[in-house]
Amino acid sequence: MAGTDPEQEIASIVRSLLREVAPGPCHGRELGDDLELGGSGLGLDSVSMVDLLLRCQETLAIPFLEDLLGQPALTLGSLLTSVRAARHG
Amino acid sequence: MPTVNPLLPTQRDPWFEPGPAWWRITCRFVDGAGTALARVDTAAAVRLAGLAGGLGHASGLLGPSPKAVSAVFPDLGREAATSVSRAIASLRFQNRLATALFVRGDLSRLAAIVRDDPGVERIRVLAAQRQPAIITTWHVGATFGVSAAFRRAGLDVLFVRNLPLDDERARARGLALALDHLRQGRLIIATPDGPGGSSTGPVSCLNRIVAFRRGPFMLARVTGAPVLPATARWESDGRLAVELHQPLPCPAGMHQRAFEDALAADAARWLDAYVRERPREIWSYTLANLLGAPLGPGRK
Repeated sequence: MAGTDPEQEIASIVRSLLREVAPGPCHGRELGDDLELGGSGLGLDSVSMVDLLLRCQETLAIPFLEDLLGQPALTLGSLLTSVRAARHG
Repeated sequence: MPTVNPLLPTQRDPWFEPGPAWWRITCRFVDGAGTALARVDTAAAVRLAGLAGGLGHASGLLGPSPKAVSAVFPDLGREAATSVSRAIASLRFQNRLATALFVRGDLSRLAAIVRDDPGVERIRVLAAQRQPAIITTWHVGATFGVSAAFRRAGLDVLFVRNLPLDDERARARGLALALDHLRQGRLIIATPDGPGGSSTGPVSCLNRIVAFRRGPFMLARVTGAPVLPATARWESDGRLAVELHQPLPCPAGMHQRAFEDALAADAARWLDAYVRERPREIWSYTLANLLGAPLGPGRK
């Protein structure tokens, strides 16, 4: 669509993938950049975490962002940063 | 709330060894004596462990009870239930020895007593095909025999349960590693009825509503790799016989979680049929977990 900010479009796609992977935890929740995806935040389990990264890989044609799994706290913002970097890389 | 029953939906469950102090002391003694004897003659050590388990059962010290067996296998008569409960007690000590050897890095001793039968040959053929496959082991029979069979076949395989899986991120990294292996056309081994991790939707097994670990089914969905159950059992001479079963049917026309849950239901049907045919191979631990799971519809 003309005039759509590509960065915003990526963020929108990733948020919608997140809702697909974890419809329950995402329901009625604002998905802000500082939202932690695992643990005390959204509480994604290991399978959902990997599923999300796989969907990002397939939908956005980027590598599997395995390095993110080594981060102490994975937030939506850090996921978006990595996705954008992978898209531009 | 976390639970210690891996047949129920779980979160970060520890592996646990239930029992009072005398039992833990007995276990330590059995582990020490058994592994020492196994260094001389592993098959003899296995036979002795089986005898010790049978004696423990006869003296009333070692379960399960015939009543517990009958609760899960109601079609067994009283005598059969008693015989099965004794066999399960023997299995308990035999597997205790196998676990001790495995934990101490002595898998080669178990590999040395694996029979070179069609099961091992099928594993070799499967690996030679260079196609991804998910081998599932279960808490029935001589579970560690499957790893030993891979060692015997000279195959290096990723055994997911051996990875450090302390928290969700470690589990996710383990899953990513397994995914990488499968994408390279390699085999992995996973244990869907083990503790911790994400759970599938509810499935029915032995008239109970249970859940398995979701990882293997998710990996099957995203890679298209077939899921093949593998089992091992102790023979009367103390050696191991390994069997690689036919792949589970691939759910047709299903996607995402529905695919995973349908595959998990197939796995539950396979496990149900396997254990009903061989109730003596069920682990005491698995029996207790089944007893702790809710009954299926129409059961009281």
